[in-house]
Amino acid sequence: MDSSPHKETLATRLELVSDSAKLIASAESAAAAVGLAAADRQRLLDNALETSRAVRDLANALSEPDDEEELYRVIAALWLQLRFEWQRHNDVMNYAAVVNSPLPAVAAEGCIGSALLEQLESLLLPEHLAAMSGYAIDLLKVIGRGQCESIDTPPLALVS
Amino acid sequence: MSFIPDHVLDQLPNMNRNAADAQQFGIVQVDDAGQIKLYNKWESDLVGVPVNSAEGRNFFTQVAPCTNNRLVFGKFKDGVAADHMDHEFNYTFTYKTKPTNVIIRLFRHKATRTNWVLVGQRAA
Repeated sequence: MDSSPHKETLATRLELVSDSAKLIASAESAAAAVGLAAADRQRLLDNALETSRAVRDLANALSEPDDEEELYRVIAALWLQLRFEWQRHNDVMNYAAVVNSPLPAVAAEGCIGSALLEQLESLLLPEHLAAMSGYAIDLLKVIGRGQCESIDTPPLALVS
Repeated sequence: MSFIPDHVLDQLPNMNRNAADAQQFGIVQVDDAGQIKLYNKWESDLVGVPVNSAEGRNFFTQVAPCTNNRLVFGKFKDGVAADHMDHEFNYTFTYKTKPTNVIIRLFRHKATRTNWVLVGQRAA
């Protein structure tokens, strides 16, 4: 029996983030807060489990010491993906509310995504998070003005 | 009828931190670019962002990114440009918190040209 202490790696820390119990707890809390109907609640829990599985797959697939640098980049990409996804949920939910069509299931989905975002942030350097947030905002701002040609080198290059 | 009485709006520019912290609604003072000058205890408790990590950062893009859209930041920018802002509307926060239904009032105090984001909680 191996009695050596468990070595903490980026992959093992990511596996903790994928803990389905935590995501399910967030989902239950969000579902209760918005009073989701049973079918919507079940769909939310299924999505949380699916997200948990996807993160665990990532942790298992890139678990070798040589994979750490690549894993860090994939976690950063996942953070960006979830950040944009959360932003979509946020806008859909609040714009819908303006025209009196509240979408509680979307609000709950947004909460799950942001709970996972917060967990992933514990694995990323604050300066990288700040750079990614700033870049995402600037990128969308520029695209919104139809000025794609003015996008310069992303600020991430400054901190890599 | 607003969740913020008119006489409180008049007092905002002279409200010190203790007075702001004693209010039962969120008070966020921002400059014309959205940088936070004052962030009261109620708001900090509601969204779980410590006061010292909020003040000095941009409210709309860094502290409350859920407000970085036309519904909130857009109204704010238009209000600053027009030197007049007084909008109250329902909103839902979901960023790193369970869904939280709030009322937001965006207010510009004409005489002092100060901007205020006021937040009250509402039932679902």
